[in-house]
Parts: sequence; C-alpha cells; structure tokens
Amino acid sequence: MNQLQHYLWLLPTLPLLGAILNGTLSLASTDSHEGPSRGLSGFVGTLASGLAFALTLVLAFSIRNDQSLQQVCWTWIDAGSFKVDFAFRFDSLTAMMLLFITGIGTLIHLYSIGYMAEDRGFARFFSYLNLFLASMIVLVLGSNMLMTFIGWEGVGLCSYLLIGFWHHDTANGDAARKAFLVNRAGDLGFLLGAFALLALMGSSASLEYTAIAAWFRDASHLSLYATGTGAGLLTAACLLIFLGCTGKSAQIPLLTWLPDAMAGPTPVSALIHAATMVTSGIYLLSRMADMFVRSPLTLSVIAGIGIATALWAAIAGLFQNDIKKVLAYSTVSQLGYMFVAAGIGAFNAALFHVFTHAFFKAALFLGAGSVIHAIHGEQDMRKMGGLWKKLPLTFGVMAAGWYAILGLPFGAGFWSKDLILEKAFEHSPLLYVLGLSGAVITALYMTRLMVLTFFGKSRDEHAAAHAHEAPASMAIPLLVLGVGALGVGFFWAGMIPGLDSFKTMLEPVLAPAQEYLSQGHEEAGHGAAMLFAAIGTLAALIGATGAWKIWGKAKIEAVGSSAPTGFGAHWTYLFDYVHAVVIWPTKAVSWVSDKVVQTLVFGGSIAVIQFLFEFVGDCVRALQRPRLRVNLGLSLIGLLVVIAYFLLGAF
Amino acid sequence: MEHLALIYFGLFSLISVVCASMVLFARHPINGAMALIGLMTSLSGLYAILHAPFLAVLQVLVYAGAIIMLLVFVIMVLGGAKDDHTPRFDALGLGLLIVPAGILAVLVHAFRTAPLAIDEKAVRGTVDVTGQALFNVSTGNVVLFEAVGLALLAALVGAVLLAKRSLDSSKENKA
Amino acid sequence: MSTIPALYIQFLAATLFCLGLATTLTRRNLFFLLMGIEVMLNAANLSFVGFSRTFAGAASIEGLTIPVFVIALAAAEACVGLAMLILVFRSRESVDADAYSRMKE
Repeated sequence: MNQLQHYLWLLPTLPLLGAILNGTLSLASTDSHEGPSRGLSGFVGTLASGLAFALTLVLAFSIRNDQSLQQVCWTWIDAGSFKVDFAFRFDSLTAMMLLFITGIGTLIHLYSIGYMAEDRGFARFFSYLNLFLASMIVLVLGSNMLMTFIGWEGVGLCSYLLIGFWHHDTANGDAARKAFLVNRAGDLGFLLGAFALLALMGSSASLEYTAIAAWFRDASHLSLYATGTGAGLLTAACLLIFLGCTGKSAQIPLLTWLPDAMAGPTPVSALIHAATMVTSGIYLLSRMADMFVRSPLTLSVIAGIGIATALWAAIAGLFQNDIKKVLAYSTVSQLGYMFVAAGIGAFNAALFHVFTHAFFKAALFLGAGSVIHAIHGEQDMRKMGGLWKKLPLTFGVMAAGWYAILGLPFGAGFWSKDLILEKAFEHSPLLYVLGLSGAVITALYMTRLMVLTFFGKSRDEHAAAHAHEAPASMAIPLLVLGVGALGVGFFWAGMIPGLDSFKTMLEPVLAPAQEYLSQGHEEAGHGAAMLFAAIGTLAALIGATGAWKIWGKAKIEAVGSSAPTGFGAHWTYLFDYVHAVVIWPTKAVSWVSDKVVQTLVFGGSIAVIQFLFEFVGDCVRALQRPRLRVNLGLSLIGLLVVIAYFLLGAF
Repeated sequence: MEHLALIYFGLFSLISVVCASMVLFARHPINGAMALIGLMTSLSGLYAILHAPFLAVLQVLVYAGAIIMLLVFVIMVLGGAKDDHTPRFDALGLGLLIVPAGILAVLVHAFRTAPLAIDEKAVRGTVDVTGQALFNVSTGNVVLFEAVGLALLAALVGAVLLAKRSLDSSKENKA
Repeated sequence: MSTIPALYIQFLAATLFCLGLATTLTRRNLFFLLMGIEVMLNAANLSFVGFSRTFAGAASIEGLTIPVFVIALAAAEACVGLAMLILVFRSRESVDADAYSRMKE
C-alpha cells in the first residue's frame, strides 16, 4: 500500500494520453473522406478509460475505509504561509466517486463506438470524451480546492466541446456557449467562495481539504466564525461555493443550460449531464461538509433550493415532448433531491443517490440513445409508439431504469430516494411532503415517457418499420447499466456479504460533519424505514397509474416542433426569463463600456496621442526640404551650434 | 630685411584671399578653377615660409597639379556652364551666408583664447624629417599612411565604376 | 627674419575657410560646390601648419604630417565626387544644384 500512492498520477494521465492520441488521429485524418479508423480510435479511447477503471479498482480495494493515499507531484504556489501543491488524494469518498465515474465512463466509451460509428468526427469525439474523463478524475482526485478547480474548469470546457460537437449547426454552438457561460458564472462563485474561506482561515489559510476540515473541527476556532465578521465570511464563503455548485449541478438559479445541453450526442448527455459532471456539485459539498454544517443558513438555503428545483423540474418534465429533454429535466429534479439531502446534513444519503442515479440515469439516456439510433434520429416522443416489440433489449433496460427512478421496491432508486425522504422527514415534515409530491410527479412524467415511446400504436409507421435493435457495442453497456440500475441499491443495505455497506465506506470521511449536525438526534429505526418505503412506493404507483390513464390511450398529434407551447413553454423557460432580466444590467454596463469608455476615453486618448505624433512628425518633416542647399545649410547650422557649444565652453 | 617674412606673408595671404573671393564670384567654372590654382600656389608659398618645405612641394605637386587638373578636365568634358541662365546668387544663398558668418565669429572668439606661442625648438619640416614622422611605427602613423593609400585605391576603383556604369547604361538606354 | 605671429595664420585660415563655405552654400553651380570644398580643405591644412610651430620640440612634426593625409584624402574625395557628378549629370543634363532637389528621378 505504501507504494500505490506513487501511481495516483496515472489515473488522470491515462485518459489524457488517450485524448492526445485520439486528437492526433483526428488531426491526421483531416484530409481523408471517411475519417479516422473507427476501430483504432475507439480502442484507444476505451482502453484508456478501462485502464483508469482497473487502476481505480486496484486502489479502491487496497485501502481501508479510513485510510487515504496522497501523492504530491510538485509545489505549485509557495507564497509565505500560503502553500498549494499539485497533489492527489485518494480516500474512500474518492474511491466511491471514481469507481462509478471510470466504470460508467468506460461503458459509455464502449457504447459510443457503436453510436458514433457513422460520424466523421469519431476520433475527435473520443478525444474530447477522454479529456473529459481526465478532467473529471482530476476534479475528484484533487487534494485541494485548486486542483478541484482545474478539473472543474476542464469538465466545463469538455462540456462545451461536446455539446457543440456537431458544430455545423449553429444552434448546437449556441447551446454549448450557453452551458459554458452559465457555468462560468458559477465558477466565479467558486473562486470568490474560496477567497472568502481563505480570509476566514486567516493565518492558517490553506486550500487542502484535510487542512480545511481540521481547521473547522478544531473547537478553538469556533469563536472565529461563530459571530461577527467571521460568521459573515463563513456564510459568504458557503453561499458562494454553493453558487458554483448550482452552476455545475444545474440548480436554481443556474440551471438553464442543462436542457439545452441535450443538443449534444446522447453518450455525452449520458456521461456528462447525467452521471458525472453534474454530480461535482454534490461532491464538492461533501468534501467541504465540515464547513457547510457550521453554517445553518447555508444549509437551509441548499435544502430550499434543492426542493424547489426538484419540484419545478419535475413539473417541467411533464411539458416536454423531446425524449432527451424529459430526461434532462429529470436529471435536474433528481439533483435537487441530492441537494435536499445535503442541505439537511445527510451527505452520505446524497452521495448514495448520486451513485444510484448515475446508473439508472445513464441506463435511461443510453436506452433513449438506442431508440433514437433505431428510428434514425427522431427524438420527438409524439412520433414514437409501439416500439417495445421492435426493441426488446432497449425496452428492458429502460424499463429497469424506469423502475429504479420511480423508487419501486428493491430497485436502486428505492434505497436511495426513500433514504433521502426518510431523512427529510426527520428534519422537517413539510420537506417530506414536498419531496413526496415530487416523487409522484416523477412517476408521472417517467411513465408518460415510457408509454409514449414504447406502448400503443406506432404514430409514425415509417420510422417504426425500419427500427432495429442496437448493435453489440451498444447493447453490452445497456445491459450492464440496466442490471446496475436494479442492483446497485443493495450496496447500502449491506446485504451482499464482504462488500462494505455504502454508509460505512464513507463514514470516516463524512462522519465528523454529520455528527456535528445531528448532535442529540437519533436515527429512526428500521421499522420506520419500512413504513417510509411503503409510502414512497405507493406515491410512485399513484403517479404511474395516473400517467397510464392519461396518456395510455390518448391521441397525440405531432404538430410543429417538439418544443413545449403555451403555459408549458412559460414554465419551462421561466429561468431563462429570469436570466434575461438579470443579464440586463450587465448588458447595460457593457454598452456603456463600449460606447463611452472604449470609444471616448480610449479612442479619444489614442486619437490625441496620434495627433501629437503626427504634429511633431510634420514639424520635423518641414525641416527636410528637398532643396539640396537648404539641407546642407541646415546641417551646417547644427554643426555650428555644436562647435560653438564646445569651443565657447559649456553654458 | 627683418620683416621679410611678414612681407611675404602679407603678399601670399592677399593673393589667397583674392583668389578665394574670385572662386566665390566667378561666372564660369573655368574661371573658378583658375582662381583655385592661384589659391593653391599662394598657399604653397605660405607653407614654405612656415618651415614646411616638403608640404609646400607636395601641395603644388598633388593639389595644384593633379586635383585641379582633374577638375578642369571634368568641367571641360561636361560643359560646365550649361546653366548660364541660373543666377549666381539668389535669396536663399544670401540667407545661407549666416552660416559662414557664424563659424567665423566662433573661430575668432576661440583664437583669442588659444595659446599661440611659437616654440623655438620647433622642427623644420624637411623631407627626411617628415618622412621619418610619416613612417613612424611607434606612433602608428605608418598604419595611417598605408590606410590612406588604400583609401585612394578605393576611390580610384569607385570613380572608375561610377563613371563607367553611366557610360554603358546610357548606351543601353538609347539602344 | 622675424617670425610670423601664429594668430595671423589662424585668422587667414579662418577667413579662407569661411569664403570656401560661402562658396559651397551659396553657388548653384555644382562645380562651385566642389571647388568650395577644396578651398575649405586647404584652409584647414593651413591651420594645421600654422599650429605646428606652437607645439614643443619633436611633437611639432605632427602638424605637418596630418596635412599630407588631408591632401591625399582630398584627392580621393575630389575623384569620387567628380565621378558622381558625371554620373548624375547624365540623367539630368544640368549642373544646377536645385535640379537635383527631387531625389526620385
């Protein structure tokens, strides 16, 4: 074990190498018509990802839950008492995150080989995908906030690159840009929050997670942040960092980019916008749990925003006709649940939901991708129907995902979502009721999706007639994820012998923070847990039956584009309107900056300088007469002056 | 006869000033060239009085003999008075007279402060003495001497090239 | 024979120099330009010779070696200057200095 920490740097480097290799392949094939070799490019990409997964497995199973591996690559900033290293840290939280990031990442790489086979930019896609994986690994593996920020920015960049992958359509570019800019607003929060934290920590300022946690756990520092400016700084730091999290994890107010991000290829949506990148917010919150639990105001804000987002997105999902958009809003909604869990201090529950959500959401997205691939690019659900006979495997996988997300018994979502609801009830019954209503609406829109896509008569005969099941490269990941969607929930239950329960795995990392919050409270017994489970299942079944009744037999007409109309449109674009209002002052300032500052001040001063130079130049030029004798005379006058100066002594 | 040197000096200086003025006011370049010869010769006489016999002879040989001859030759070849209609003096020229006036003023002022005592032990510049000084290795004069020779060679080659090219090109232009 | 005061030589040299300078600057004919330069060089030579006797002992020979160089270089300069005059004359067919004010042609 002592030697293993020297291999931590390999974890991000392997996908990075894959990215470089694929990038070279892409550049080398710019002149050819068919593009790069699919086999080579896909192999390199998947191998890089697979090797990272294998290494993660080795590392994860070689440390105990309370151990951590640390590798310092070099000292990055060394300014007096403030020091930041380029360092990696692998503890049980990292292990958990990396296992599903690299695991699902590898599966999606494999899936992409089949999905993107006909795309000219195949190697470029894998290059970006590998780069994304590398950035995500750095994000999770970083041992301090700055390293996480590198990964944070990296995944933002790759998100931009991949959303706008089919860049010939400018709408994709607009979506990519929107994602990048909204994320950027969050990044500002991240940085400012980090600065506020450093200001709070004063002389022992450090960005290392262990140092931050130790600083907060030290009871002697309580007076520093309990009252006065310290408390203000703490709250500011927490809220600002949370703003960064809302940007990355698409919560109110920075969520408008995620539905638009569906413009990218489906594997991208599955990997980035369902399983991995959007969970970075929860990861950061958990990493800095010791800080957040000491600011009750922030926790309330987090929980409030979480539940508001969960409900809002769930309702928005009802208005969508595009299959990927439904899943996008579903992701936003589920992320809201995770933030609710974080807001009430149940970080391990939040992370568990992250874990299970990754599996079933990826399964749903890849299944949707398989459907889209089968009917040749059609994404509007109103044009689908009756596909369960044509695409049995896809239907099976998506059904498993549906089962999981609804929280029906023993699926993955059953364990994680009901755990969150249970903890919510302990915190506040209102929160529980809201969460439960969210579960009903979740069941509504998910069942609507399944019904419209797979059941009933086919509403577009032409597309259905040519539908074919996914090839092997797409089918295998689908199967694995489908099984995962049903099976991974058991990691919490601890029913699989030899496998540590999820909770005990994360306990060494999260326990101090959670215990701080739950001083005095006791956990509800298992009997109560069964009751919550039963209520949750009932809610889901109500929603499912409702959806079947409404949309099972309905006549759907596919008019116009798949975008929602009327009230649905207003609800969906609510935060886009808010953004437009908020952006207005920025636009005003930029107009002023352009017209006044740029034109008048800078342009004016440049014009003045220009005029001065021209004037002096003209004056000097006037001395240069074309007449020979004048030139001669003038130069001799100069000579005369010099001679006089020296002969008659310096004046 | 004790003021013979002064008399000779006055004579030669008068001639040289008159000749220089004639150069200034001459109409035809040939007149100017002749005045120039007068100047050179009178200066040669001055050098002789001033204990520099070698230089005096050199002046006549090279300056009056070779350089003026070259000048006269070129004047003759090109037809020096091509622009007879141009006035000798115009407003610009008169305005530019301020420069020589200024330099004269500065020089006069400088002379009044310069130490001008004549040393009794000063050397008379005969051929052998001057030759010894010119080829003096320790003071480096020999290097200068040889360098001047090179400069003359360069000037010779340059002049040949300059004039030659013009002759050839004019032939080609008219072809 | 009494010696000539050094100051008179210098005044003469200064006068000749200024006359030569006036010739160079004032006359429009290019030949006079070159002749004025020759006058100036001669005046400078005279000044050197005039100063040579004010130096002590053997050092006074320096005043007589420098004019040798000046004469040689004046010869070189006259040579090249006249060659250029010939060259330039070919294009303009004029010895008027003002005709050469526009360099381009």
